Amino acid sequence: MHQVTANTDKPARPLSILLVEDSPSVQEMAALTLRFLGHQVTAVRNGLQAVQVFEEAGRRGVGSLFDVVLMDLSMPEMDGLTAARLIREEEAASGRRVRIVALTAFATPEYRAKCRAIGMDAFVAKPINMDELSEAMMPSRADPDVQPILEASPSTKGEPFDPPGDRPSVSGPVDLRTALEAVGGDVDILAAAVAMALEEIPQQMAKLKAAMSRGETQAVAAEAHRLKGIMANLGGTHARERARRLEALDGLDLRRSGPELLIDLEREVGRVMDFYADAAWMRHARESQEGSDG
Amino acid sequence: MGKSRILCVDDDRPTVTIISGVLKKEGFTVETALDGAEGLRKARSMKPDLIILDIAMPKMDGFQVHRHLRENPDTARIDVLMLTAKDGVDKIVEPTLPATPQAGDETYAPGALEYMTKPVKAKELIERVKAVLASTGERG
Repeated sequence: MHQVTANTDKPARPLSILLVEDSPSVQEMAALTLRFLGHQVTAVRNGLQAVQVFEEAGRRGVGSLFDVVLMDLSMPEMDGLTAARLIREEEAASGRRVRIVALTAFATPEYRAKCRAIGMDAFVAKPINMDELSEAMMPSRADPDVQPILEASPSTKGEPFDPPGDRPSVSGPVDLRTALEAVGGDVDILAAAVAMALEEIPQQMAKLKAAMSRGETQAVAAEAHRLKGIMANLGGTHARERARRLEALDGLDLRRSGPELLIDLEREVGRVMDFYADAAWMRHARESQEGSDG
Repeated sequence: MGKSRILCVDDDRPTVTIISGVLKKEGFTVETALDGAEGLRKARSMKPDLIILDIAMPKMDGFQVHRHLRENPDTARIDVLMLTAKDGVDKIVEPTLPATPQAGDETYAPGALEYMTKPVKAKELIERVKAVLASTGERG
């Protein structure tokens, strides 16, 4: 297979690419270049949409729609690592395996290792060099230290397929509107609940970790459940979602993807705590109330 | 309807804070308990009109608390609004049925048992609480 570069008119093989990238400018630039190179590009804006595309394809039984997923790692709604893991899970049923290439500005060895552990096949540092990207997309040019991948099957093109449209996205760690809804818009009640929660969260997190290290499925579920409730009250949408997933894991799944999910959860919980640790949230909350209540 | 008295039993303190804050603002008298045993004690001393009871609590879960309430004539008629997790995997499978009162014994007619999903939203909470209290008013 001859080398693909940005200078060639046609790629060795036109690829069907799912581009997952939240920055509109990066997305546009990459999509333009890839299309120019003869590839087919579908672009979505976050990990959740990418996972939905795969789930939808699975439901319709149209098989693999893409040869390659180019996955940004840091995105709102759902980050690239989580999305990659969920895509691998979704694929487990069909036995297919799409090539996933991580795109990130944080090109540390630790990060690479994390990407590989989760089942990503190659890693391209940002800013993106198109030659490097083209190479990373080709199965034969895998990162040498990446586990061997199954030969990508020629993509089976199903019926025309629309990626899920844009939804209102909650980019911050906290959906303040949801939190205010719980307390009927009363910022003081929410502040009291937040104060309680900030005290409880560290203990709760510690209990969850302890349960996880003992490998006690039921205890993990119970502690994750509590954390989920706390996050729900605080409008911590992402953290809540991760706690929910952790709560639902059992046995084998817990050992396999529990630790990763726990790290994810802890990070999201940390973001929620940071949000509320800054008293400025109260001002935002009052302003938003004035805006909505008139 | 006067100042109805409500007891909120939940091991999650932020949730308790929210529920009691919202209901007090609405003019109710609210007491709280952080576990089932404390909830039962307060139910006996306070004799509330309504108990808001979380299902998933350690040691004694909401269903157990509910059964104990029904078994005691002093608390058997108190209405209960049970809180369940909306997206949960609430692992409690079998709700324990309230103790069967002797047929025709009016004094033992058990209070209402209704369910509401968590996370609680103020508007729904107030509506549900008022609805349960109103139906009790009609009944008794």
